[in-house]
Amino acid sequence: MRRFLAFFGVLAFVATACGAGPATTGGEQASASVSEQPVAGGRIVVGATGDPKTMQPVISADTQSSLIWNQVYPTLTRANSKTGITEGSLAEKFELSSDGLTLTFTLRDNLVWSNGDPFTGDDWKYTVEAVGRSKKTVRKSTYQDVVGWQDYVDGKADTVSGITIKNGGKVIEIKFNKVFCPAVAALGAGGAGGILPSKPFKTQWDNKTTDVTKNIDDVPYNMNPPASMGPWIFKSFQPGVQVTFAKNDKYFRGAPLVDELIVKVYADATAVKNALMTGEVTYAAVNPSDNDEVSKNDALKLYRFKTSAYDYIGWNAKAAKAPWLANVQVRQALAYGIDAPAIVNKVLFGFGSQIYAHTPPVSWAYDDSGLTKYARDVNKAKQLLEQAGAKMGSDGVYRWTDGSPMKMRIETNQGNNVRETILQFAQQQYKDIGIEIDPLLESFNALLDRTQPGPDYEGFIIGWSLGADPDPYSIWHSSQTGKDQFNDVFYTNAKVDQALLDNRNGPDCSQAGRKKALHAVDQQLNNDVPYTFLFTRDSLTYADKKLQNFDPATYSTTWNVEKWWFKK
Amino acid sequence: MLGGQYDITPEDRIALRESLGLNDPLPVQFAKWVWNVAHLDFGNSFYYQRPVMSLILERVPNSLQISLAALIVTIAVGIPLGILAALRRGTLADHGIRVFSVGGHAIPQFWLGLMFVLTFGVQARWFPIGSMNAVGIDCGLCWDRLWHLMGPVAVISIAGIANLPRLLRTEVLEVISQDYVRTARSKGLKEQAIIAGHVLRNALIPVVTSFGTILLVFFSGSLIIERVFNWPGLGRLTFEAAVNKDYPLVQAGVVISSVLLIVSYILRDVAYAWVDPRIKVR
Repeated sequence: MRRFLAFFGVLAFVATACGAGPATTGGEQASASVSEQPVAGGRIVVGATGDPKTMQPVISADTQSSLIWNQVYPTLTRANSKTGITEGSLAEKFELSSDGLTLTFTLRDNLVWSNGDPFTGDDWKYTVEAVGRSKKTVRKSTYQDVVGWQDYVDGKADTVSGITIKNGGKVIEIKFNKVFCPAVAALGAGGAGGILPSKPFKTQWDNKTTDVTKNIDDVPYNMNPPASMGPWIFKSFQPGVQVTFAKNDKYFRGAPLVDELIVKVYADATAVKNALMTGEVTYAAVNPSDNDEVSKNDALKLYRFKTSAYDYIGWNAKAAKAPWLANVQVRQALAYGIDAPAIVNKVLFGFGSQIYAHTPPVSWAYDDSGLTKYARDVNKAKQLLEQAGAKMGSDGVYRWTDGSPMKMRIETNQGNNVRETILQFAQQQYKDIGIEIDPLLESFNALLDRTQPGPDYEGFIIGWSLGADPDPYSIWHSSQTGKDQFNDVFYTNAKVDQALLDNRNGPDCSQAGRKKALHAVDQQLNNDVPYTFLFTRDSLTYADKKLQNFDPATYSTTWNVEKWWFKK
Repeated sequence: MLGGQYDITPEDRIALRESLGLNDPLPVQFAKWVWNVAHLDFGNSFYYQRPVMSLILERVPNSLQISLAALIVTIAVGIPLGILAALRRGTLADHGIRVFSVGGHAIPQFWLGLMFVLTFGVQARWFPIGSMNAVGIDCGLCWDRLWHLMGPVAVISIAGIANLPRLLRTEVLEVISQDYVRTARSKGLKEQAIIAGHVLRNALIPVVTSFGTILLVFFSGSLIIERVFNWPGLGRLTFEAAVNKDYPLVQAGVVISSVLLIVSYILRDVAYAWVDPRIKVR
């Protein structure tokens, strides 16, 4: 998961390999016109706001890059575009043994790369080992529990002993040192990275070696994909202009109907919106504030669906200047003190929904039964503050038990209009319940730096963008409060710690078992409100009306790209 | 530079510091950098993981197209306007040119650019909203490229055109009352020959001075305009590098703009000798 910058705009087009959630479309269903005969031909143009840094997934950590390699290097499994549940992709079957220690992927029959080479388990293993030796990758933790992983990373072995390729490359068997439930989705999706064509890549970096000084990080194929397993074949890259792809006739789900895909670079989200308005770009997500303008364009059609990202106000339980934040009743008062639905209406123009705990409503693990739906209630908030020991001062601001006035800072990233407006709301509404807020705006990087776990910050408005497979361990476990870790509100609860481990290490790795564990986490978070959970946003994706079978959803926009076609 | 990824282990961090040479003392780091720059090696871009020099060389031709076209338009329109203003002093044309000059000076380029994109691009659809070519067309010298050049060149030229007539008008008026101009007239020379051969050549000296920084102005001017018109040039590259904290690329951008400034001063001095042979160094 990642801290969520959200310049509130074109988060669009990221053909995320991971995904989940019930999608609602605005207007008619995309499939309404499918009765007509599809016509082949045409060109899809999508906007990006920068050049790809690399076209190779092992060393990729940014959306501009993943937008490119996602077109040519798919994964063994993928998240269902709507539900986020892991489903087969290049693998037709995947199975975790009953002891949770052996994972088996069985590949589809007759898989072939665009250059004619057969696709086998060796391609997957090569990619895993490339991660093992890379100095630039961010995907190492995905494989840390695989038997023999560390020996390979350290150069003590020339292969990862826990990975066996069987049946002429059709079956991949992985042995683990310990049970790790999210491993199925994580390894299937290659830690959110695609699978490389091992045959051409081996000429530039050979994986069968103990020489740890050599790696895949700077090989020429990183900027020039030699073969494709995806719907598109890489054709050319013009820096600052575009990346061009042609359709892959050997794509395993069938050759795309559209001839060409172009990823064109624009200066910013506004330029992409302009290109969408003039018909240069085929589809793009727009800001809620631009929706009015874009919706008047007759050539475009709206697709609305929920995202798996949410915004919140975090409360630092160890804040030196606001000791009251450690008190659960104070935090509950803060949750009652703010009007989240009003924020959704004012800043998202209604394109979002209130949330009450960590798991986003689109996730398969979502269950809001038994959760308190904090609605703004000034009297209740004041009552809770008084129960916690606060006394009203003559200036309308409460005094905490140590006599200090309840004043504190809330900070957020400048330039994000949504969060700036939330901060104004919070300042006003918390004044009504007798708490004074000192607003602070700073750059996104400064905000990340300042909220490194420690005592120097009180409240902060930020967001999480969550993957399809839920694993909130790094956000809520009491051990995750060190430098560069994510529990920066110092939340500690033994029950939650255990439930987080149940979700990760089983023994029950079934979806039902994990859902139960995650619901326990959500219930406790809903009661303890270490964050004031605010809302999740809807994506407003507009596409050319002529584009048929376009069916974007939470976890993927391009999951059925081979079936798209343009009505004449 | 980690792309927002905080999943980095302490060992990786140490390895990264080592590979970036951050463990050397600052003077050593600087000396290494200067030595490499002397060999035209600006290092690798943090963002693109590729040599900075190759990134820049890719973009230079694109920037030059805008700069040269804008320079030609500025001279071709600005100088005649200046002469016209001087010769038709006090007429409607003179006042019109003055109003245009003040307006062209006062309006910031980025705003003009944005307005151009919004009115002629998004709303009227007369011009493209940006980029070098329409999607699917890839050509350097063709109608499509010319069509895409019009917006950015017009916007950059307006500032230059606004500047020239004011300088030139004052200077032409001064030169035109000189004795040698009267002599030329009394010899019976044609008015055009007097203006071109005697007046303009002498009036151009301050114009050449104002061109001293022109290479740099065009470079930095295109920084914003390239972004507004989505032009994949050096200016946009430098701007994005600054946003991405891509220090090697920003450093190279600064070095190159310094070199451009020096080069444009040299060109100016050469041009002095051309417009006024008295300035030639013996």
